Amino acid sequence: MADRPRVAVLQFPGSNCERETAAAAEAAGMEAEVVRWNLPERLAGADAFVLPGGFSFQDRVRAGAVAAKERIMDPVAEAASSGTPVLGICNGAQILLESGLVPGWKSGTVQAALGSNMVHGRSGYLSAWVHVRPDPRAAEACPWLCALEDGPLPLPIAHAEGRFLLDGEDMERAEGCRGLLYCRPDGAEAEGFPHNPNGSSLNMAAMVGSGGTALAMMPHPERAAWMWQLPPALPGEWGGRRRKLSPEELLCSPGPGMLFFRGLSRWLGVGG
Amino acid sequence: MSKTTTLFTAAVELKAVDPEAVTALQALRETMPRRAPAELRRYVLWQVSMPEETGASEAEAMLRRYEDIVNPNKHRLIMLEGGVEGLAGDGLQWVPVRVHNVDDTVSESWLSLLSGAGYPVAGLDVSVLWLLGYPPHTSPESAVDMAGAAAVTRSRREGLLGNPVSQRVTVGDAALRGAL
Repeated sequence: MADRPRVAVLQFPGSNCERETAAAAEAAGMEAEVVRWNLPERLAGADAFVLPGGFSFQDRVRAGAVAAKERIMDPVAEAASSGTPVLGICNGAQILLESGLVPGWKSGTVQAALGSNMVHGRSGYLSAWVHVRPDPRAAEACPWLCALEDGPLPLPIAHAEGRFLLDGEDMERAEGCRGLLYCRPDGAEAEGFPHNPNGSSLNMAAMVGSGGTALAMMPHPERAAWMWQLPPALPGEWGGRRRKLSPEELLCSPGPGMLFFRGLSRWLGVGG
Repeated sequence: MSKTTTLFTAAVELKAVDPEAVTALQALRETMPRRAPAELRRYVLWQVSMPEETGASEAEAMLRRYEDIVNPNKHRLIMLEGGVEGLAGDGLQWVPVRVHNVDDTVSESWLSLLSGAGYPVAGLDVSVLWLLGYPPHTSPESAVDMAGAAAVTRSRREGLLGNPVSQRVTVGDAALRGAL
C-alpha cells in the first residue's frame, strides 16, 4: 500500500530490536523498513524514524557515542529539526542524547547523558518490568505519546546505562521535557528503587526534544506491543486485563507498547 | 592502617589490538579529520592508595590476583612511575586523556571487594586512559589543544571520548595526577 506512512527503522551494527520494532509499526498501520546504517540514501521520503535498541557498535567508547557520529544521522538530524518524528528506544535513546537531538535546546549540542544505573546498594545491568506514565505537558504535542492513556503503563527495561543526567542548571527546564515518568503500578510517583529502576533524574524514563517530536525512551515499547508479551503476574491494571484474556485473545490483543506506534500512526493521519 | 599512603598507578591494556581504540580512531578521523590523532591507544587505569610501607610489587600482585582486572591470557599490566613514558613509544607526540564516570560505581565496588579481602587499600580509582599520538612535528601545545577537542563530546561533529554531562575528562599532564 503506497499511501501508508513510511517509518524507517535504523539498523546499526549491534542493533538487535529492529525487526520487532518494524513489526509493531506495521501492526499500527504504517509501512516499516529496516535501513542499514551504511545506506543513508534509503531514508529519503521517510515520514518518521526509529532508532531501535541493542548495542550499536558494541557500546564501544560509550553507549550510543559512535552511532551518533555516523553519516546516516545527518538526514535524521535534519528531518528532526523540521519536525519529523524520531523515536530512540534504549540504545536508540542513548544515540539521540549523544547526537544532541534530545533535549535539543541548543541545536546539535550534547546537553544530556544516560549514565550508569545507580540506586542505593545496586548498580549494573538491569532487566525488569517497570511502570511509566506520560507527562501531560509533553504528551499532547508528541506523536509517540499522544495516544497513551493517562494511567500507568507496564513496559520492560533492559539496560546498564539508563539514568538521565543533566547539568545542574538544566534541571529546571528538564521538567518540561519529561516524556515518561517512572511510577508505581498504581500510578503514584516513584520513590526510588525498584519503581525508579536506575536512579534517573526527575524519575525520567523518557525525554522529549526537538520541538516535541523526538522522544528518547529507555523502556522498550516493542517488547510490550502484544498482550502475550506481558508477564502473567504483572501488577496493576494492565496485568488484570491480561489475566482476563482467553489464550486466543491473548495472541492478537495489542499491548501497552502498541500505543506508542498507534500515536504516531494517528499523528501521520492513518488512525491506526 | 598507617596514615601516610603511597599511590600506585597501573595501566591495563589488551595484548591484541584494542577494538574500542580502532573504532574511536575511525570515528574521530571521519568527524574531525584535522584534529584526529595519528594513533590512539586505550588503557584501563587503576590507581590504588596503600600504606606507605607497601611495595609496588605488592600492589601489582593484588591487582593480578583478580582476572576481572588482569586476565593474563588477554591483558598486559604495566606499573607506571610518573608519566606515560612506560606506555608510549618514541616517534609521536603523545597526549594523555583520562575519562572518569562522575558517579563511579566501579571504583566503589572494587574498593569494597579488595578491602573485604583484607587488602589495606585506602582508596581506589578506576578510569579509562586514552593516549592520543600526533605526528612528531606537532608542537606540544597544539597536540594538547587537538586532543582536548577530540576528547570532550560537544556535538555530533566535535569530540568523542567523554560526555561532559556524565564524565570528567582531563587532558595532558593533569590526566595522570592522582584522582584520589
